Amino acid sequence: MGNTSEGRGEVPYGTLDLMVLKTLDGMGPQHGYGIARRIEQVSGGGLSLNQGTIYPALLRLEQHGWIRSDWGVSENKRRARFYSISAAGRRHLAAEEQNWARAVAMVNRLLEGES
Amino acid sequence: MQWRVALARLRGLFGRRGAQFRLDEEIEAHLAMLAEEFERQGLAPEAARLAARREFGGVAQMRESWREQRGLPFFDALAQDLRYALRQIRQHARFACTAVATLALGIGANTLIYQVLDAVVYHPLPVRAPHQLQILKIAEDGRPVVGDQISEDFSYPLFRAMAARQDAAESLFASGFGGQQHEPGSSANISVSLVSGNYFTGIGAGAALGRVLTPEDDRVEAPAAGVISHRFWEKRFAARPQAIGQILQLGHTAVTVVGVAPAEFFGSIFGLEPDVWLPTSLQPRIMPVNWLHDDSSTWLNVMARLKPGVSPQRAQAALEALYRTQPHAEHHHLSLLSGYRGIPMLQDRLETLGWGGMVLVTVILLIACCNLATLVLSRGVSRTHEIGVRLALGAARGRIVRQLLTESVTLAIAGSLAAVALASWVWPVISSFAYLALPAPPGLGWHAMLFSGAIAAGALCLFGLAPAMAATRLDLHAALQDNRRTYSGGRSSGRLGRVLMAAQISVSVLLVYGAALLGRSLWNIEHQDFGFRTERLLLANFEWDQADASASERLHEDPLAAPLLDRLNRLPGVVSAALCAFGPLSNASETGTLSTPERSSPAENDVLVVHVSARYFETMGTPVLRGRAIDDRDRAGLQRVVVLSQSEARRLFGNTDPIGRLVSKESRFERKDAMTVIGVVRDIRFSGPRDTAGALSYVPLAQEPAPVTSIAVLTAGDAAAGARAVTEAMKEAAPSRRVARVEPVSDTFMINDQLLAFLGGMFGVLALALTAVGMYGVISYGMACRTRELGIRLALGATGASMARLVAGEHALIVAGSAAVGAVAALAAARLLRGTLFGVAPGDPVLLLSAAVVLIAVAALAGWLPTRRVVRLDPMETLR
Repeated sequence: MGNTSEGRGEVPYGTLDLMVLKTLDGMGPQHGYGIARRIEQVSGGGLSLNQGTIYPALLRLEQHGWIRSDWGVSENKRRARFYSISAAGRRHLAAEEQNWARAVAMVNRLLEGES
Repeated sequence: MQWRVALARLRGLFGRRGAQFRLDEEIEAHLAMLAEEFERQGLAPEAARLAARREFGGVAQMRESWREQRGLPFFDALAQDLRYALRQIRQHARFACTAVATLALGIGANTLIYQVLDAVVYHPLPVRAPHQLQILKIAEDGRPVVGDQISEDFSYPLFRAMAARQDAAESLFASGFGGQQHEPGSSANISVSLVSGNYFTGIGAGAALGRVLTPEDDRVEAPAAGVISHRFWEKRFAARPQAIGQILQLGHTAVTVVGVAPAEFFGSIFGLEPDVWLPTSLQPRIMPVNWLHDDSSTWLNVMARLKPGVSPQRAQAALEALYRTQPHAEHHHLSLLSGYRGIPMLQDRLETLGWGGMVLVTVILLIACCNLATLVLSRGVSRTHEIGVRLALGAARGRIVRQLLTESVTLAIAGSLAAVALASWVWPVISSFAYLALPAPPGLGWHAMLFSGAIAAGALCLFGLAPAMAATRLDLHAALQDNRRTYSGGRSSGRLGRVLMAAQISVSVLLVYGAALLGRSLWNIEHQDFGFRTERLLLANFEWDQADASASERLHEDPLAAPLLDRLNRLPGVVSAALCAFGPLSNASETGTLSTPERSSPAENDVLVVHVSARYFETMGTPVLRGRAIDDRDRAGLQRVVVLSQSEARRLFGNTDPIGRLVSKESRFERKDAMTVIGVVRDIRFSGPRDTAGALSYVPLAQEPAPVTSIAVLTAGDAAAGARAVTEAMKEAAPSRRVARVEPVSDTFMINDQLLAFLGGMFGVLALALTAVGMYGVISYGMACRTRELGIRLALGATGASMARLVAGEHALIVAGSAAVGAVAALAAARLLRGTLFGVAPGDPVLLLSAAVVLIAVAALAGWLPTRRVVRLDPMETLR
């Protein structure tokens, strides 16, 4: 919804993969729409996500072997592709979470030191 | 993890369609769920669907990035371009066929020539360290040492003396032709090479089986041993290992086979692979004469293997110094030639021919590529609109060029595949020519493949890249209007077309001029005075048979000879027949010396001696200028006689009458075996159409016995038709004598020039044809671009004729200009032919002018067809 975009941030570069993995880790198998909605909900409307962009991300994650996908039926009886995180994906997620935390902490220190 | 992604992407290249469906289905489900959500929030179904689309974002962009993520974008685009190219090729099948055929011919011919050069001319001897090999060459002072004059320079005593005393090289080793030996009970001849005992170790060849010859074998008292060639081993012994130890009966000598040479080893002369190598010590046992102690018979090629680190110059200096100390060395000098390729008898000839041919074929290929470029260009006109639209929609120029190029690349690949197939198919035929008798590889080498690939790439740049660049350099605005109508410009691509046309015409002038020169030269050769007739004359050459030499020497007194001659003379269609030894075209010659009472001969061996039977001059058609010909009266025991050629008579007697004068065969006149000059005959071309050696003397076979080398037969009708009858008659009358071949003199004598002129003519015609097609293409293309402009002119009242003049005038300028450029280039290029031309200068103004006129005429014709269409244009049709 383009006209409500004030106050909404773009998805920080490279974080979409992390968000998708985290969502799948928390919610279990989920279809693309579900994942997109979940990310929007969690961000509290603070993130403007073109929902379509998660499909290339899903493909990328699947190519790395971090997620798996299979056909299933959605809550309102619609055939949909369900994605779930793999063991390798969990390991990757853990590592990335640590990296993220370290990076954020570092940037924070830097910013606090400056002000 | 990266390999995993790569693998997944590779897999993604395939099954693309299924994956696309899967994505589509996901997108659809996603949109539906979003829309439901919006409906639940209270939007109307239609508005909900729109809102869902907005929330989802650009479907097309997403799909594109998904696709890029999925496969390998480069290959993806390639596959896409390929499909596009194939579609184009299918739609323009005629163009595609023309392109592939032209490329196949051009590249194929180049590849073949390259293969010949690679396999024959530039092939090193297949031996250890061939670059260390040098050929020892003795030439008379003042005469340059040239490769293809290489002959057997060394006598056996000279070789022995030098080999024993030299220390400049690792070794000196020798080889000589040992004749065709006849194995009793077999009809096949065995060709023999006589080699010094250190030959195999010297040249650096091992044995494939058994052992090679050693200096031990090369002693007179050693048991007769021989090494056979791989080919002979297969032919005679079916490649059985038991061949070692077998006995070969060569003439009167039983030779034990001790080894088999490697398959690739052909001896030291390319194209002359012997069946068996024997030690030189066997020479007197397989030939009727003994050369081992004779220092005047030169029959050996001597090569040296240099010591590592010794330069050829130093070795030459040392060997020359040693040579100086030998007897008979005055007036001669010794030099070294690289023996890397062995003794280059055939290679030097082929090298020139090969490079000449390659230049010609490349030029033809250039023209062909220009043609293709023109065709691609003129098709480009019909695609201008399409390309304009795509450029306007934001397609990158590089991307479009790449797409257009894909089509050309596809054609080039198809063309070069066809070329390689063609060349592979023709190569065995070529390599099996008796003339070449190549021990060459049966298939094309990878060198040749690479070469043809490189040529294809070059051609591609010409006919693919240039038009593609031109096609995308568009004035977008003009292109987007309906192209044919307003698009009278296309300036840059039109200019390219004209440049190509000019290049074609120039090159064609060059080729046509070359063909004209060669044709004229052949005409001169055929119509010169040979001193004997070239039509209706057959020569039956006997195999040069050393073991039988004594027998053929007696042929003139052979009980069979008279009946044979008699029989030949009575054959229907035979006018006369005569025997001769060492006559013209017999591949052998005898040199002698003549002196008169007044004048000693200053040099030795400066006159050719031909031994002839009665009726010889009559048969050969050599005019007797003074006195009489040799006939039946000139028998053994009577006064010895001689017939001189014009030049020789003038040399010996000046302007005085030679008839009745005495000459002797010694360098100082000796009365006791003097011969009376009974006649003078016209000079002849002895060894080839360009040979002007005039000094000849003819002696009666009856008085001067010699091995008969050939029978000359004058037929009443077509010589080629008479050849079979003569062969039959000779077989019946003298079954013991093996006839190498019976062939019309004109074939033997002029085949090279005829071949060259024929090839030149073919190239010329091909160039003309291609130019005509190219001109037609370019001019039609120009017309297509200008239809609307011309239509307006017509509508405004221009007449068809004036329009035609306008169009023709523009092209006439180009044609005239490029014909002039071509003429200059032709003059420069013709100098390459200087050695080949006969009786015509490389810069012949009449021929050059004719070539230019022919070209202009062809151009006019090719231009006339499309111009005629202009005259018939309907202005309404063009402007609508």
